[in-house]
Amino acid sequence: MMSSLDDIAVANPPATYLVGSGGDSMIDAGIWPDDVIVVDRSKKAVNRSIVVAIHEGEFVCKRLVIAGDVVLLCPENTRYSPIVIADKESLIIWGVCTYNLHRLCPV
Amino acid sequence: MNGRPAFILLDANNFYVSAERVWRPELANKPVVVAGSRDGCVIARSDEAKALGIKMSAPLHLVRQQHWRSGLIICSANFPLYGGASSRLMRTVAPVGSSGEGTGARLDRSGYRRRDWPNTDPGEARLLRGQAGARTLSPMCNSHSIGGLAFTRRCSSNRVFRAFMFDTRLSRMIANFGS
Repeated sequence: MMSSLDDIAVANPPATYLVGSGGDSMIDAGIWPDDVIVVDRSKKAVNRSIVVAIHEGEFVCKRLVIAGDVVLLCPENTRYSPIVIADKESLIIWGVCTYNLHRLCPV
Repeated sequence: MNGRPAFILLDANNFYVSAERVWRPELANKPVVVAGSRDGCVIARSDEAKALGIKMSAPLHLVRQQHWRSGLIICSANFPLYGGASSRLMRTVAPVGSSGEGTGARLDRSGYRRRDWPNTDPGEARLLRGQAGARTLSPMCNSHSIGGLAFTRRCSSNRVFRAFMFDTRLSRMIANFGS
């Protein structure tokens, strides 16, 4: 029975982390600033996964797009442009975003 | 294994530094030490810091003086963070041992978790090692955890070594083995 948030959103507890969202680059995917993202580090990232990756030493949340030899980290906001990953081997996928906790009413 | 009980010993490399790197990607590939005892001495060193010749439990004021030019990064110990990482590590590898009896875990002074699993095989140990590293600690360094397997808890280090020839980084683990 789906009785708790853990049952619904946390498939693998020891590999699951809650991460605060900082920017507005993923708004079209439904991730708003100050949302809390559920990240599973044991899931394998595939094409079109929303991932937390490490880009230039910083955490970024983007959609991973693999098109043939080209790997992109795409924001879901038309105001931003995709990050092209030049060195695929150096791309570190920190985890795969599985759920998003979005506040629906003011504090 | 012919039904003989066997034990896996799992150890993580530079555990405190690895745990810091999970949340601070900028620490990757840099000399990092974790300071304990109210920032009095070094309690964990990254491989890069070891290469600088920094010794375990070296006084921090000397280390800072000698190595600041090398870009040494000093982190104050954050034990809740390391406790969380340790707990995640143990929970990641727990399913392998859950079928057997006599499991036990303890955290020793240096932060290495130790646990025995009856009836496991080398393949499982290797799998465990990969999972523990990939899921719990940073993906930035490949070999974060080490699994060793032996037939008795106090077996000779030689035997552990032969069982796990594929892991050349076993030497420190052997030193921790047996108590």
